[in-house]
Amino acid sequence: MRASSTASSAALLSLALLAGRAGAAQITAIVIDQDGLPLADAVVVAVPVQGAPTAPPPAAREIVDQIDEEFVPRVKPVVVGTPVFFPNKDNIRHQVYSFSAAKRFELPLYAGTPAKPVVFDKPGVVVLGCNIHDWMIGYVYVSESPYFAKTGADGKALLGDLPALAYRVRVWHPRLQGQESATQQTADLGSNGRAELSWKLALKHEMRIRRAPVPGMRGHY
Amino acid sequence: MPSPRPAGQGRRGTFRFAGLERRIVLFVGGLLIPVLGSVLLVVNEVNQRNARSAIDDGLAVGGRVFERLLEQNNRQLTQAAEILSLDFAFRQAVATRDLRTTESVLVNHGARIGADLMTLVSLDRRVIADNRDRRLVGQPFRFPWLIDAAEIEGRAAGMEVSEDGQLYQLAVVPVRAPEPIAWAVFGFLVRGRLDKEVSSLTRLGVSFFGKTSGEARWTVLDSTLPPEQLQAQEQMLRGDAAHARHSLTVESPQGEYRTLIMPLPERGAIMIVATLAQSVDEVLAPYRRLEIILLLLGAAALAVSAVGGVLIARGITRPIHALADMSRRIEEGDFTHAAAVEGKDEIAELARRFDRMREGLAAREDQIRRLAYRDVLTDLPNRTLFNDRLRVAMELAERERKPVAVLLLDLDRFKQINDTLGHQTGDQVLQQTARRLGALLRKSDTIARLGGDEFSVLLDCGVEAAKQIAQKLLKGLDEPIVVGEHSLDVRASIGIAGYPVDSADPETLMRHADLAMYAAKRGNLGIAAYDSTLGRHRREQLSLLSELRRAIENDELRLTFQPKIDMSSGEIAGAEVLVRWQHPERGLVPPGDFIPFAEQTGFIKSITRWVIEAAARQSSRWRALGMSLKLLVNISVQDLLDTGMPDVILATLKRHGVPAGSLGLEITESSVMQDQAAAIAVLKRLRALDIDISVDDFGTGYSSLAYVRQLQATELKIDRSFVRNLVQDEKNRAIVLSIIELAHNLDLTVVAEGVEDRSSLEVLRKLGCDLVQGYVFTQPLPEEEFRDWFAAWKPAAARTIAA
Repeated sequence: MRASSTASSAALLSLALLAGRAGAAQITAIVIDQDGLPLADAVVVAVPVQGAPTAPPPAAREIVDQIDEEFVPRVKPVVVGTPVFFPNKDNIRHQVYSFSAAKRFELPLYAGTPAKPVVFDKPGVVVLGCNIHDWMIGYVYVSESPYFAKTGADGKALLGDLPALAYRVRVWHPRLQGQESATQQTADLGSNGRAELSWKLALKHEMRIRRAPVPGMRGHY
Repeated sequence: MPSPRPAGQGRRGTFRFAGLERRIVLFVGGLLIPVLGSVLLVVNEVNQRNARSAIDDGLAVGGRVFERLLEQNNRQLTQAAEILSLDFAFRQAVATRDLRTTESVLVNHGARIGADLMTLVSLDRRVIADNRDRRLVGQPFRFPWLIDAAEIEGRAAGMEVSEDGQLYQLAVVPVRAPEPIAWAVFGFLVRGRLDKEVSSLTRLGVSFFGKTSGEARWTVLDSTLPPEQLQAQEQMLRGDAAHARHSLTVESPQGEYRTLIMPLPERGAIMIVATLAQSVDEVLAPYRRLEIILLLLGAAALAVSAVGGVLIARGITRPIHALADMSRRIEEGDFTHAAAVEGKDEIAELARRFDRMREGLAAREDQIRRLAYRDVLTDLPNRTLFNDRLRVAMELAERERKPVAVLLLDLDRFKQINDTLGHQTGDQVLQQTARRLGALLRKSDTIARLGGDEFSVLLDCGVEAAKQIAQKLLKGLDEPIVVGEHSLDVRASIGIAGYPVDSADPETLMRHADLAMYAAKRGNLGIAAYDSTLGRHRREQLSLLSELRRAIENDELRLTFQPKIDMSSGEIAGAEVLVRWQHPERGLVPPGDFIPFAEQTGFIKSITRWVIEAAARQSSRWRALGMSLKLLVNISVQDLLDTGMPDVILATLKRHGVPAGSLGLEITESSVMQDQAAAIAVLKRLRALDIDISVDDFGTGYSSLAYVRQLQATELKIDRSFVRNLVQDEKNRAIVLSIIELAHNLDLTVVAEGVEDRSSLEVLRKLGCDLVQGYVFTQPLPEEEFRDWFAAWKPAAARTIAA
C-alpha cells in the first residue's frame, strides 16, 4: 500500500519542484502504530530528492527542559548544528549525558541552565539520559534536513512552508522497530504542493525503567 | 514299714511341678507376645503412615521452599544485575565499545555481586565479552531466549546449562545508555550455592538433571545426593516421569527415597528437572529407634515376666517339692526332716501346718513306740523291748561265744506299800527304785521293768559276775526310799540265770531267772542263781494246789484254837481259830506253808469257807456242852472282796444255830487296801450282822487308828513283834501303851498276842491291855485238847498267873 502511493507521489513531486521554490508546499503526515492508534512523538523528516540539503539556518537555540524528572519534550527534533540548552526546572540536580554516536556529552551535576548549550553537529539520534534518574530518557533527533515535524497526540505532523520539491520522507520514533530508512516514502510537492503521507509503524516493546518512588509519596507513578 | 514308693511315681510328680513353671511361662509368653506383637505391628503401621505422610508433607513444603528460593534468588540476582548495569562507569565502558575495558568492567562488576558467570551480549545477541572464555566473543549467545524474555520483561532469569555443562542461575538485564545498548548476563553456579541452600533449608536431597529433548538419558547437573541414589533417580526420570510435577518412591541400594520431581520451565533446548528426595529410612530412623526400644522393652518385659513366672512357680513348686519330699520321708518313717519352707504366703502356711502335722506324727509315733517299748511309769524298756534285746544279745553272744546273764529283781513287800500307802506312793517307789538301779548299771546294760514290781537286767557277763552286780543292786536299795513324808525300807529278791550255762533260749532263760527269784524270795536269800532243782520246787507248788483241793475234799484240814484271856476277869473271852493241814504223807503242815500260797492262787476263799463252816459247827457243839466262847476266824483279802461272804457266814451260822455274836473275824489292815470301798462295804454288812471285826497284826503296816475305825473294827490285836520284848524294850512298851490308850479312846478292845511269859503279861496288865493270847497260857490246841484245857481253866489261877 505504502509503495504504490509513494511511486505516484514521486512523479508529482518533481513537477512541484519545478513549479516554484516559494514555500507554500506542505506534507501532512499521519503516523499510527500497529494497532492503528495515533502515534505521538514520531519525527517525520523530509529530504529533497535532488540537490544538497539547504544550508542550516542560523543557529536557533533549542531547549530540552528537565521538569519533574522527565525530559520535556521527550523527543526533540533539531536540525544539524543546533545548540540545545538543557535547563533544569527541578529543584534537584540532574546529570544529563549521552553515549550516542551522533553526540556524546555529559553535563556534570547541575541546577538551573548550564551556560553553554550542547551543539548537535552530526545528524542522528541522540539518546539523553540522566545519570541520577535512571528512568529519565529523552531523544534529540538531529536531522540533516531542516524539513521535519513531530506528530502530536493525534499522530499527525505537518511539514509546512516546504519548497515544492520532491522529497524522500521518513519517520523515526523511539520505539521504531527496524531501520529508519525503511520507512522512507517519496512525496512530490511540485504538482499541487501538497502531500499526505501515512505510516503504520511497528513498535518495539517499550523497556522503560520505572520511576523511583517520590520521597513523601507512596509507591510509584 | 511300708515299702518305698516306686521311683517313677516321684519322678512323675516332679515332672508335673516343672509343668507348672512351664505353664506359667507359656501363659505369660502367650499373653505378652501377641500383645507386644500387635503393639509393635500397630506402632510400625502408624509410624510408617506417619513417616510417609510426614515425608510427603516435607516434600511438598520442600517444593514450595525450593520454588520460593529459586524465585527469590532470581529476583535478587536480577536486581543486583540491574543495579550493576545501571552503574554509570559500567555503562560508559560498555558504550565505549572498548573490548578490554568492557571485559574488565564486566568482571569487576560481576565480582561485586559474587557472580560466577558474566557475559556481555550485543543487541544482536552475540557475545561481546565473557569472563570465562574469550573464544566465546563474537559467538551467538547461548541462551537467546533469555534475551527474548528480557526484551519483553526488561529482565529475565532462569536456570541454564552452560557450554561446560555447569548449571547456572542466570539473570539477563539490559545495559542502558539509557536505551539498551547491550545485554549483561550474570550467573551463579548452582552447585555449592543454591543446592546447599535448599538442602539446608528443607533437609532434602536436591538434584538437577538435564537432557536435550532428543536424548533418552538424563545428565546429572548437580546433586547433594550420593551417586548410587542419583543413578536410581536418573532411571526413574526416564520416560514420562519428568513431564509433570509429582512425587514418587525410588528404590536404591541406599534404601527407599521419596522423591518430588519438579520440571523447571523449559525455554531452551535443554530440559531441566529438579528433584527433592527424602530418605524414607532416615525419617523412619527415629521411629525405628522407638520400635527397637519398644521391642527391647517388650523383650525385657517378656524376660522379666518369664523369670518372674519361673520364680513364682519355683516359689510354689519348691515348697511343694519340699513338702512332697517331707511326706515321702514321713511315709518311710523319717520324721526328722522339717520342710524347709520360709515365708508368709499360703504355701508357707501349708508347709507350717505340714510341719506341725509331721511333728505331731513324730511325737505320736514316738509315744506309740514308747508305749510299745517303754514302761510309761519308769521310762525303762518294757518287757517287749527287753525280750527283744535279750534275743539280740543272745544271738550276738552265740556268735561271739560270750556269756549273757539275766537278773530278775522283785521288790519284797511292795504289795504292802501299794496297799497301805496307795498306788501313787507305790509308783514313786518304783520310779526311785528304777533310778537307783539304773544309776548302778553301765549304759550298755539293759534294765527293764517287766510289770508290777518286777525288774530285769540284761548283762553281758557270766553268772558269777552277775551275782556281784546283783549284790551291788541290793546294796543300792539299802537306803530307805523317801516318798513324801514316808521313809520306806524297800528290799528286793534277785534271781539270776545265765547263758549259755542255764539255757540256750530267751524264754527259758527268763523262766529260770524267775524261778531263781522266787527261790530267793521264799528262802529270804536276797539273791539266788538258777539251778536245776528250782524247777522241781515249782512243780511241787503246782501239785500243792491240787493237794489242797484234795485236802478240803478229804477233810484233811484241822482246826486248832488258842484262847484269849480277859485280863480283868481271868475268864476265857474267846479263841482264835487257826487251821492246820494233816497231810497224809508229809504230816502236819503249818499254815505259813500253804496259806500264802492259797492266798496267791485265790484258793483261800475255799479254805475260809471251810474254816467258817468248821468253826460254826464246833461252836454249836461246844455250846451244847456249855462252852460259850467267841471264835475268831482269820479271813483274807479275797474274802473281803467277796460280796457274797456276809450271806454265806449268816447262812452258816443259822444252819448251825450259832448266834452271830459268837463269831468274830480277824483281818489284817493291809488286806483292806486293795479295794477299800468294796472291802469296807462288806465289813459294814458283817458288822451290821453283829459280827465282831478284829484287826490283826496292828503296828506292822502304815495304817492309823482312824483308819482302823473305818474298817468297822471292834478289836485291835497288837502285833507279836511289839509284845515279844516288852519287858526289856522301853520303846515297844511306849508304842503298846499309846496303841492301847488310843484304842480305848476309840472304844476298841485291845488284844496282845504272842505273849510268852509272865512278866510280859504283867506289863500288859499294867498297860491296860484288855485281852491276852499266847503261849503263856497255851499253844493253839486241837478240839479235844482245847475242851480239856477249857475245863481245867481257873480264872482265878489266870489272875494268879498274871499277878
